[in-house]
Amino acid sequence: MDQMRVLLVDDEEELVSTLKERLALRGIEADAVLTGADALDRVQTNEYDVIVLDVKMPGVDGLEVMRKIRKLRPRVQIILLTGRGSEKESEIGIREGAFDYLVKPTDIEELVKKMKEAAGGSS
Amino acid sequence: MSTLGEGPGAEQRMRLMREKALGFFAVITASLSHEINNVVAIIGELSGLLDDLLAGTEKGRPLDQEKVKTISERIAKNVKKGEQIIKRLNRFAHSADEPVKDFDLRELLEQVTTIAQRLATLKGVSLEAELPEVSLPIRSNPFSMQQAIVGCIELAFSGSRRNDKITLTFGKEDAGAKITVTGPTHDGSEASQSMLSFLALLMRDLGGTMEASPAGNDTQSLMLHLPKSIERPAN
Repeated sequence: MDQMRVLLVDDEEELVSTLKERLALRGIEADAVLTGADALDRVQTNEYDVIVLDVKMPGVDGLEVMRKIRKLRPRVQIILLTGRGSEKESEIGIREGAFDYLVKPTDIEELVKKMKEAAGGSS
Repeated sequence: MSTLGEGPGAEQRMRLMREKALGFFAVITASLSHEINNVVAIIGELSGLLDDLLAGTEKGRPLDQEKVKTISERIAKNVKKGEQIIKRLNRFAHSADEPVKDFDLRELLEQVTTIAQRLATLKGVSLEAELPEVSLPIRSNPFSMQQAIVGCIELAFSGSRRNDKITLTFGKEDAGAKITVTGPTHDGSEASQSMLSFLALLMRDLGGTMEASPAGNDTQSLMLHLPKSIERPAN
């Protein structure tokens, strides 16, 4: 498989930048944005295989962002990131087409595994 | 003054008070525990990055000591942040210990504003507070007082749009204090009307009153008038 194209979306700047760095050490180059609006902008101009999307972001419903992304790019696979206790929203997301969800704090190897599974499914 | 626990409908009022108090406690503890979870997630990723860098040295990659130092400092900063959130959670939980106690209103306003900040951020609105500079001893129910203030803020949320502003101000009155929450006018829904009625009830329990007045286009002020002292739980 070609290099996986990944977009990380989370309002926690420190979390997303560290995650990006750790993925890079594993040979996965990811773009990272902090808002749902920025994610939509990126999706309009870039092709991604996998989007890792935080469900709870300031001023925006993560599931709404997911719906808009899927409308723009129906083939992109979305992995939702959720806080403990917010799994219900992620389950709704899965029913609406998300590939899977992970509860924060996530295990990097688990995330990479899911991303590879998701990218495999999208190609 | 009649108390909430007396007269017709007393049992229903008391049940409502208990249910709302529990609901408020749940919202705030969930919010604070989410904040803690975020900090733990960041610390987890940072310590994971340290592990990754160390693992890299085993494969012959040089260790960037400056980078290790920066990561270590970032971990320490987040540990401190986590400690502060835990302190707020602890203070909030203990505010329900006694129905009436002596406390500093300034500290309470600082605490409740910080707690409500995350709720505002999630709504996409800003919350600004003009807090008193000196301590203000008061004898009241700190838990209910926080519930009343956050209730006013939530009412403003109901009519808010992204980037709206909510302000919390404080003023001294002869009989006590006035806390004003100015923000978008509530959405007029059944839930908001019910919240308004509940807040009036809560303020009565605190020996005070609440009034609402327009503060401009689509903006209103909710004013909580609080006595300096209540000698016993009103109910």
